[in-house]
Amino acid sequence: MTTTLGTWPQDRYYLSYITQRMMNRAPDWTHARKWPFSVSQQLFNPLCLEIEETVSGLIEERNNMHLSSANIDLLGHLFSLDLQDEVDFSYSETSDGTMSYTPPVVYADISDTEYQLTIAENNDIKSLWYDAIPSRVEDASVSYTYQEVIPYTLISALSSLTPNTPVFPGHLSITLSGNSTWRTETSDMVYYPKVYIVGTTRKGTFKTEAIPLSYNGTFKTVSQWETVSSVFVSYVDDDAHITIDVLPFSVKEHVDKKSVYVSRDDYETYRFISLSNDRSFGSTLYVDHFTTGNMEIVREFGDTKDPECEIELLDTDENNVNINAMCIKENTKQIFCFTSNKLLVYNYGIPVPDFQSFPEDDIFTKFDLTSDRWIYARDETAVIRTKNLDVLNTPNKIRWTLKKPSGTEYYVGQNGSLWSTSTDAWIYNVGHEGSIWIENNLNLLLDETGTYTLTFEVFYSNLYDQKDTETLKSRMMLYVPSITPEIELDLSTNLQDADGVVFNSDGELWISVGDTIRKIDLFYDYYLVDYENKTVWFREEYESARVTI
Amino acid sequence: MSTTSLKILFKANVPTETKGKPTRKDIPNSFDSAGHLVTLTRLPEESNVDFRNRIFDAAVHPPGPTYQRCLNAIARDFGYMRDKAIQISLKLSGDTPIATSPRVDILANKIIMYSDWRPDGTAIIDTEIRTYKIDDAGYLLTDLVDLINSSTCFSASIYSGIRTNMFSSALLQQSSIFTINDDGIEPGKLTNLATGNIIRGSLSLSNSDVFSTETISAPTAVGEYQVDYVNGKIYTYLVSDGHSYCSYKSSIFPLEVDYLPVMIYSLQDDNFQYELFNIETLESSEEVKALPNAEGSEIYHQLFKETQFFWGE
Repeated sequence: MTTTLGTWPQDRYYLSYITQRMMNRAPDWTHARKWPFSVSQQLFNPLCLEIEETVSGLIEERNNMHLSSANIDLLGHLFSLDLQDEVDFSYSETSDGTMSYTPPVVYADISDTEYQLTIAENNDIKSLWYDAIPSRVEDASVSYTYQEVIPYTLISALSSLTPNTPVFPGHLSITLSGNSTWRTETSDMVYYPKVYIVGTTRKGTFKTEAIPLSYNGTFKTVSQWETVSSVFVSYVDDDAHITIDVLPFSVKEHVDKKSVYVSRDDYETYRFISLSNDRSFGSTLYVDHFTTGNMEIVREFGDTKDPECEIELLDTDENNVNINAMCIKENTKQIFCFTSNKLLVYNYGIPVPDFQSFPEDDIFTKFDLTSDRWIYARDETAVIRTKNLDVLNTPNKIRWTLKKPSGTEYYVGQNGSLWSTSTDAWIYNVGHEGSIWIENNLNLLLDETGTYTLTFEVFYSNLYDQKDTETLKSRMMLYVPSITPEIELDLSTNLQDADGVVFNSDGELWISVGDTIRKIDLFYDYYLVDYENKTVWFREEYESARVTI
Repeated sequence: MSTTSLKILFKANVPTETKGKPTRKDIPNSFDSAGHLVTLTRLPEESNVDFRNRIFDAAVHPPGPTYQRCLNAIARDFGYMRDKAIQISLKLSGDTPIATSPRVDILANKIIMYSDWRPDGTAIIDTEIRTYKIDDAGYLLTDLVDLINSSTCFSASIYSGIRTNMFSSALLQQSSIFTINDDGIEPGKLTNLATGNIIRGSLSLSNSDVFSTETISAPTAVGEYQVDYVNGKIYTYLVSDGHSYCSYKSSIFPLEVDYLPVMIYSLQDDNFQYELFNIETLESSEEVKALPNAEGSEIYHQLFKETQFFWGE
């Protein structure tokens, strides 16, 4: 199925994955199932976004029932300042007649200096605690020399290695690469690759844990390990490589734990997010998913991946940045990125283009424009093809117009060159008199971020009546996404030039600079106002706070 | 909410400012629920991570009426977690331990390190270190380790991150020795036993009528067997009637000794009583306990004061 916004599945990223999952209950031939921009999908998507939040919450609650998987950042305490009984908050009336309190101005002493704090976004617990982004970052003055439990090692050499003791207890990340045998069949048994960890857990029990390895990637142990006495594998290729870390700084691909990729063919598979520095202009977030079927059968059909999109990372001034290290904070959509001297926190996901500014096709247009996808990275070349839906009518002439994200409009030559709009850019169909039309392939270099509007004007004229003419327009949107950080924080000298970053099993943030790892303290200087009980709540501990009405 | 046409209806005049130190309010979450299942409550200002670790600890080191379990419960309720303090290893001569049949016992008031301990009661002590009083040579961890290192057969080291000036009397009472029952033996093969450092004189075979003669070198006749006590191996001559089993005592080394800053002494513990009573030597050279010494008197007085006794019962 092709659309004026391109073929899918690449065009669905910012639809909820629940939307496609729900639509997969519809018959195979329906638009609802096949087309992300169908009325049904657009109608249900807001509902599915809410369901996605609920599902995410249910998963987290289920994890919280088990100590080993419980969110270690669960709200466990707050700090409160009771205001005097006589305090009366100001309130105002909005234009729609709603009465609303005016938030007090709150200050707090941080390192003997008074700062004004920010109210939690929605003045609720969720935005104060769970969704809050850090407002301050400090060196925790804890550092170690770091050694992997098993450094990058050839499988055939694994048996001769003595595992290093984890620098501190935690889940271990096992990264496998270069393996190609995912199933070994004997006369009566089928074996799959596994790695075995033997040692003492954080609870103090001696145990062996077997971790199935179903693709080349990173897997986390269920147990948290204090010491590791031995590591061995079964049914893994001798020429594959393995790394075992308690702080997986070397991991490049992160599983998107907040969503999965859902195909219209009813299979679901992992979606991965990684940092890419392959572009000349700066860093990007690269999103892809397994090419083949369900997560259960990836190991039997190979682990090649299809790209979904690439999102340009900008700083708060909307300039490109070079990110050295990236990680995702568990149970959130926050991505922590380190440049040489700044911490940038993003909420991941493609921003939605402004569809309202996208003009509609002429209702009687006889042409579709198609492309393999409509989301691109900057400096990529989009290939747009024409498709004549009415072969009985051949165009007299055509004209391509491109409106760039900056707002500038150009005519486009068939080779993709841009012309001024003051030129005559009509391209005559030399086969018009013979009623011949050859479909166009337009190569278009996308050198800006943002939304491109491509217009294909087709001029028809009646050979026997020169006054009988008609111009019909088809349009297509192309999009080069970019995101700006929620916050940008300067790093002290000790925390600069990080080449790796990761949250450990206790929710602490650690960076690596060469062989040295350092702990970073994150602070959330926000407050919440309970107007009824006349109390101001804080997330951080302050020596003194001041509230003015 | 539209803010384009805000209209201020009312603005209070008094008071306009409040200043103070915000106070901490604990908010129970699912960790607290899990804690209640093992009768643990969160300590003041205890983080999720620390509380979770105490709950984990309750599963592995459960509370109970025994010495170890009592310690577990009391320490955990105060927020103290056991930690590995020192490691005691065997000194080697080449590849072989100097001690013939090593054993280490950490007791209420001392540590005894045997170079040759046998189940029949005969024993040769390499070093005995008293750890109970401040004037004892091994009262601090660092002194204890120095003394162990000066012994003939044993060496010791303190784990990284452990304070060297801790009281060694707070090392948990334990022994290096434990018993293994019914370890399988393959006939006619070299069998690796579950552990090394087998205590000499402790090995017994389930069908001793089959394996009757222990040899120093490789067995050459039916019924002969050879034991490698250091590496925990047993080699039997080929017999036809299949498997056999053996039981033995073994010493585990390196011995990892845990530390808890909570100490429990049993008044019935012979070693502890040694600290509470004057010791008199009889003409036969036998040492016996006489009247309580000053420390013992003080403890017993406190006990009588706090506990109801009914004389004659």
